[in-house]
Amino acid sequence: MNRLGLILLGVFYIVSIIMVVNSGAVGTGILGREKRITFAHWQLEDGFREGYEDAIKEYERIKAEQGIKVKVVQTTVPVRGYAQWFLTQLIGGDCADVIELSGNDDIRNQYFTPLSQYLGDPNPYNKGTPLEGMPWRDTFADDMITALSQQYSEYFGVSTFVMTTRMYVNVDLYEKAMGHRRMPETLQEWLDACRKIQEYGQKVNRPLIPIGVRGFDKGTIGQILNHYNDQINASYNDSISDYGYGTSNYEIYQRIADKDPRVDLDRFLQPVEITTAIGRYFAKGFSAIDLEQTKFLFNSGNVAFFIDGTWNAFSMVNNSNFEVDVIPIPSIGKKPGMISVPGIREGAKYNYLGRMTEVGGGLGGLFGIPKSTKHPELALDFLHFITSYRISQLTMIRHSKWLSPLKKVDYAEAFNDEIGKMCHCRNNSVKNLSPAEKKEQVGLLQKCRPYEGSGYSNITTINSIGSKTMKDNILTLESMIIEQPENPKQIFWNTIVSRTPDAIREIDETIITEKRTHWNNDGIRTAFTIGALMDKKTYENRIRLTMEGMVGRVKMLDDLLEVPSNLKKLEEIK
Amino acid sequence: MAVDVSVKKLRYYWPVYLLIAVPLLLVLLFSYYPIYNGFVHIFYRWNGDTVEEFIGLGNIIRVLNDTTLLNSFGVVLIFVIANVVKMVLPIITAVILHHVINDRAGYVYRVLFVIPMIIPAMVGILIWKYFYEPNNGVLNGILRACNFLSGTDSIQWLSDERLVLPALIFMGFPWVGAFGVLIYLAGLQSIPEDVYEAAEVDGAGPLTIFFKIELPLIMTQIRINLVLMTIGTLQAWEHIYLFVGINGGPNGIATVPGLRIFRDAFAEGLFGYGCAIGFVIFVVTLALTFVNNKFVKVDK
Amino acid sequence: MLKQIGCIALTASALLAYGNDMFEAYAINNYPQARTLAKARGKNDPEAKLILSLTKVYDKSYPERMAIEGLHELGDYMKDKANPARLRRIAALSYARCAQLMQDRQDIYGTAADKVNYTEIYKQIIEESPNSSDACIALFYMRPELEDISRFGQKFQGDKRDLVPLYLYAANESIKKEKNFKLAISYLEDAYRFGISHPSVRQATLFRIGFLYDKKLNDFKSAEKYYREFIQKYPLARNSRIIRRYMKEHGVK
Repeated sequence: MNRLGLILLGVFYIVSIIMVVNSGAVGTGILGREKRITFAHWQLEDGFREGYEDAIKEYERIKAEQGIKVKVVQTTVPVRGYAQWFLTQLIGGDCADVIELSGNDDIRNQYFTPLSQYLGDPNPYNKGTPLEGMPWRDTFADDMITALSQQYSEYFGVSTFVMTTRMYVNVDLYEKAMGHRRMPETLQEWLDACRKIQEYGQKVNRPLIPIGVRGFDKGTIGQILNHYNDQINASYNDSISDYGYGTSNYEIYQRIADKDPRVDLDRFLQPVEITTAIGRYFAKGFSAIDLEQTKFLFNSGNVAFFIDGTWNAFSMVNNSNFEVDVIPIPSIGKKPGMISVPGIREGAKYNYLGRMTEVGGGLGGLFGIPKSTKHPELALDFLHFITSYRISQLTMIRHSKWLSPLKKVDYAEAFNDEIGKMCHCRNNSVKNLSPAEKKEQVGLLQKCRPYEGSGYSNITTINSIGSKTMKDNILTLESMIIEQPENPKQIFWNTIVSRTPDAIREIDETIITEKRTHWNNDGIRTAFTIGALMDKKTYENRIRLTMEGMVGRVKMLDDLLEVPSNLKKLEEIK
Repeated sequence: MAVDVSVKKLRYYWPVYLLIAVPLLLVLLFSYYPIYNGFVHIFYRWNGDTVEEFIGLGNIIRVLNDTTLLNSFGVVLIFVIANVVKMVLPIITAVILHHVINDRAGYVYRVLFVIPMIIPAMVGILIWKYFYEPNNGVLNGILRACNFLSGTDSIQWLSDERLVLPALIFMGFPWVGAFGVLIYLAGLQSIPEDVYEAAEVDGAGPLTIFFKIELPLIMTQIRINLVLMTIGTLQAWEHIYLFVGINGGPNGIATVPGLRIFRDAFAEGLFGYGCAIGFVIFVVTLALTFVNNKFVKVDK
Repeated sequence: MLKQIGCIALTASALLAYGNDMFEAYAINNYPQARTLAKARGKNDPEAKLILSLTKVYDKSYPERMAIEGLHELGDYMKDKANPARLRRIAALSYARCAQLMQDRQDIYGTAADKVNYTEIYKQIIEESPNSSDACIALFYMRPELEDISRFGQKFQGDKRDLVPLYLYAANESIKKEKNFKLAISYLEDAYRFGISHPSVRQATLFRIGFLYDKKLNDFKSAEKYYREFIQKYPLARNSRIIRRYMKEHGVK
């Protein structure tokens, strides 16, 4: 027996040595014949890993046809420890070859390959697709504005998915309460539905919750406030700033402080009034309920409406014991104009601009190439591959049921046979779909897709001044939702004014940070100047990128220096 | 046992001192240096990164004028008093366990008390959070089943200002955590049998034995637990954060100094101010430990 | 003997592992490596001396007194005519800029940089190399008046793309100081024509020109040309939808 044990020990030891050497950081297989790259991220959601496993198989097949033996290894790390793991991998110099970005711009600049030099060329894997010939940067829905590092005027990663916010509806509960299945489209219809659901709960003696809210991190309050703020005030982007389209909160405060007649403070406070009124239908004790509890409540069938990101859409719809619909957060009205909403304030009218343009926003999942990679060309090639049209359809749409970050993507096409041939997994909800299932899944994704909208884009809310002060202002809104005062706008604004000293203190620190950033940027400029001594063309361009980015930073500092004096001029509403 | 060693003889013992020097260096580097660094930053406006400005006593003055911080010490005092009361049940449990006649049964009970120790505290907190959930939670469900609440009513255990503190105090009921019970049990088991025999001979009843013999003889353990509990309660904030969030619940009613440090330093970037609050906690802890040592005497 | 071989091997491998170019290391902000390689070259090497001084000033992990030390070293380097002219100009620009920033942070640096007349140094750079990108950057850092920018731009014979940051800055200043939208547009048009390197800034500037014509000068006819160019170049961008709304408001398809 001892001899047997010894033999087994020896065999397993040899096998483990082979496995360790084979998957070691050498970058090639044990016989040195294949190139090995690692692909790492923290996305543990359904379908994401499976989608990339299929993409990896496809990539290895394509490379084999080109005579290059490649092995791609996918690694996932849970999100809670990801940031720390990410940093230690970079510092250790043994990072994955293509990795999901974390950390701040300084870390990315230090450890990641700048991608600007590659973004002007077309993605070779887009041949035969609607994106053929387009510069890689232009294939993304936002022209890679989200991926741009403002501090370094450089791109260190490319996006792999898009997220939007929608409302999930317990259709069974809704139908029982309302007597019909037509979903609310306007704020008035939504409030009426919430009231009827409450009445139905009383009737059947169940603690039903009209609107499930993640109050713990104040996320839902912020989402509702932003949503209605955009619909009411986005037109100020056309007029408030003298410098161009769009306005910063500093400019809004300057106009209010100067009593500029073009700016109506009451209009800026209307979203507060609307959010407070909607808050009547939040779950009792919502401020202590976190996201997991809210989802639990929704899945238990006691919540009618739940606002969350579309990354959950497929699992919410398919894993519930009741029918779930996905709808946008209701607009103020059906057509743009002055809308009154009974049940909020008698006689009040709200300026409804239409549904906001979501296109070009919500991009996430940045993946980059660390400088320490042993196969930079292969890593870049793989990055091209996973951000190509067809592979995005495979991984994001077909498998994950998420949204693609690319332009012109046909969602129905993602469920056809061409993409189906790349599905090697055994999951029937991906591989063998009936026409009805395909139609259902495409329908769901279309509901999650960014809206074209009426041609207005987001505007900052009135409470967005100083990050700590902004959080305190949201807490004020939360208190008002609980207490339901008569005059929420007045209370909210007067609380903002009373917090002016705190806001000024925060602005002072932001000014110091901004000055430090100017110093850092000059350090970057100097680094590129030194680089230009070796490679004039590449680095001179980067110097220009840095200096062009500096123009915005100089303006931001100038604006910041004026903010404290503007804040001191704010007056309470009597 | 410590022995005086002359300097001459040190050359024979230098390997020992060298060995001690290494962990001592690590303690100095990873324990004392951060404390020193924190103490220095009390006098700075510091955001942990780009802003580091010497402001003298500015943070201390702010601490002394901060009424919400003073309130948080009031809250933590309530928790300390409640935790003192909560120490009673583990003592009683330990005494009961000690008097179990059947050895095997006693062993089984001890194991049953130890097993829950392997469950992470976080899991316990999350379970209690669901317990308190106002809409579908266990507690409100029980109250509805007993007709104390109607089907649609709910009590907001963690959102109602009046109920947050009692809910946090009640958490963990019946508060017979294995650690305390086992420490007291170890103390009780060290009482010699002849003491019990002598007490029986003198006609002492169970209560007399408890108050006159057992309680005084485990006073050392009680004192240790009291000190540890006081320090732990003064510093604890994680369970409050998990229960009611970083703001300490409705109107910050459950904010304790530890949560204030976390919020001010890590959420709001006021690291210097956080260091000042930490210093105040240190002073208060030291004072309470002194009081404990002076007034909780162990009369052997 | 073995120990010595080990040390040599370690240093050599460090040099090999991290690359052997000091400038390359500095160019990617790898200050520790750049310092190591510069020290290996020796302080008498002018390139190494410059790199060592620059890392003192820009490396955030260094305490403030090192930055002050580095600043004075850069000043000496700039004045030492034995150093190559190009490197002296790099030192001069960093010296002036850092002194300017230090004077703005007296809470940290006190009066360490007060004696440095950075404006004069900028002017000197512009005078010595009027057609270089360094001159454009020096002028930018001076926060010049609009007339100075225009005058400089007219005389500039170098790569016009180097003027872009100045002209973008001038556009903002025209609006801030004079509310002169027409002047701002002219600067933006020039910058766009020279060629903006930053793709996001390029896209935003094209939109901005049309926007200012339309919304600030009420000149939709001039704006329309830029709007159409934007839609043609960036048909799927978010701002294209905004432009379509503007055109609809003007009754134009």
